[in-house]
Amino acid sequence: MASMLIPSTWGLPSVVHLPTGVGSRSTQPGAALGKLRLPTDPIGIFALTLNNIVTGSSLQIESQDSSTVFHNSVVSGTTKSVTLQVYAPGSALNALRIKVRKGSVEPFYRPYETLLSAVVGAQSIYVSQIPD
Amino acid sequence: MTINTTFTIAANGNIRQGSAFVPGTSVRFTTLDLHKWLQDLADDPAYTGDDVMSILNSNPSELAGKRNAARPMPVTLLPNVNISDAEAQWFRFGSVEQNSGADLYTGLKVLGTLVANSPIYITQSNAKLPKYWADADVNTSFQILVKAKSGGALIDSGNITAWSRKYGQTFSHFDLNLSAGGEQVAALGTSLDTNIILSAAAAEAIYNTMTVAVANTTQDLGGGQGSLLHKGTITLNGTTSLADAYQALMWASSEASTATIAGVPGWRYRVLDAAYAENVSAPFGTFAGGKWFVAQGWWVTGVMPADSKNYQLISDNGTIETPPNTVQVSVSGLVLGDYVLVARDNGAGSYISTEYTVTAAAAATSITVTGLKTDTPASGVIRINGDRYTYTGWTGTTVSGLSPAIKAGGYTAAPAFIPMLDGVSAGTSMTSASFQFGTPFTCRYFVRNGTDGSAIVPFESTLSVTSTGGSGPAVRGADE
Repeated sequence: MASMLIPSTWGLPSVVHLPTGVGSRSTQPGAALGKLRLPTDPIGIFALTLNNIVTGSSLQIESQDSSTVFHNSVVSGTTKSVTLQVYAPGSALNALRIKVRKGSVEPFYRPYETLLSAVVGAQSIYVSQIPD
Repeated sequence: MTINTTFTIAANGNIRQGSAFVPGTSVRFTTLDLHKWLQDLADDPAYTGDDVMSILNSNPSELAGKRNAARPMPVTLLPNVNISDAEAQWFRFGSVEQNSGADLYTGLKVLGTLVANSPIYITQSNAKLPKYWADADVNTSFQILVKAKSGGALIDSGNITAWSRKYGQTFSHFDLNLSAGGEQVAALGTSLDTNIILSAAAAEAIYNTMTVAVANTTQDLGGGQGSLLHKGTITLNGTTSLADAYQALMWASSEASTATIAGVPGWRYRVLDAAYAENVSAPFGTFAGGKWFVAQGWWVTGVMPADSKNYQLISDNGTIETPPNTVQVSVSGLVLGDYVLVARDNGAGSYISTEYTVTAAAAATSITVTGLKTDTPASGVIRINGDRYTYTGWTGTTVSGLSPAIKAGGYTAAPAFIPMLDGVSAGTSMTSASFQFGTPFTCRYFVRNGTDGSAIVPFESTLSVTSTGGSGPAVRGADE
């Protein structure tokens, strides 16, 4: 969601929420339109690749404050790519916890957990699961 | 019943049972089962059923090492996942640590050869734990968890004792420490006690006629070991056999006992003094072959005469004390009128005539005999400077009841000896008064008779005095 500032003299609300989009603005005679992002608006894409996952592991990516689950799946194969949103700097939603677990079907592995920050761009991590 | 249906997991991490563990009926899960169950739930995408556990939760548990069903598994519950004492009864073969290490339930396994259904009880902080196991558990595998740590503090330093003390069986106990977690082993062994023939009620009734008191007492059992310190006294009423006393004391120290011994409940009485070696199978000593081998430190009084030799004691300093062994010396093959003298052999073809040195006042009927031997006949004859006096008794170094009284002039440093026999035969044999056997010795004996019609060639020989006494025959060679 973005916001547009409109002079109140037009008799309209001074702030109008607009659909999410990359910031843009236009200047008209006597008025300036622009979109400003809220802290919860994504600002880009984070392409995360997890390597060396044991096939059949459960993967969950969540915010470190456990308020939001971004991804949950059972991984088939040893590599898993996940596309995540990146939020404005300082957003708690950029602080990620990655959980990889395999406790239902043999071979069992100890829960693997790591933390990282979402950034615009791509990053890969090596998942080192230890047999349980 | 599976582990999944036995327990629920609440959002606060509480693992709780649906119904209580029933000893002898419910089947325990291993601690590995607990870990496997939690991990199975922890990789689920969402909660299922009544178990609030999925990948949304933190890791609920970890093992010290890899999963191995053949080994006891120490499980740590994380971070707020927990069981209570009630749930701990459902588990075995490992340990469960929780609450950031503040609580610990450690495995206990009983090994050994036990009589079927030998009851086990466990003491912690000197109290019996409530039983959440069945007697029959020992028939297969006795494995439980015992709480060793609570609120960050070890309970009684982690120490417990596993016991089996069933009246009618030999006893057993084993001390162990649970602080390390995992599974700790108690080695116990019981067997049927064939010396137990009284009912428990009868044994208790006999115990109630006895006194078992702790107090230092220095006593001489009379077996040659001298006066020795004992730290307690078992007083029998004079009509209780040692066999019955043994059974009564086994009852008093059995699991069901309500007696107090040496200030502690009988069911955890172990030894009179901590410095003594324990007699695990029978705290008051074992009974074997009709003889009671009384545990160290106890003095026993009120023993019936018939049982006078059927026990032995161990003093405070570890000296084994045996009751006195009274024996006699006899000579057979006699006729009326034979004169018999039996005295200690001097090893040189004669007898010891200078056994003692005596000083005695005239007319005395009691004299002091320095160095008087403990294997002196209770009554008999003392020869002083060759003069014959009978005596009726002795105590310590005092010989009393002399007859006749010491002759006029008395004796000063006169040689003396006390023969075993010194007198005229009144029949076909002569037997000395009893004396307490100490060590073997040899006697030389003489039989003489110069009376017409009975005269014999003086006979002389030796006989050995052993723990059963001594005897020798007279060989009569006519001297007419």
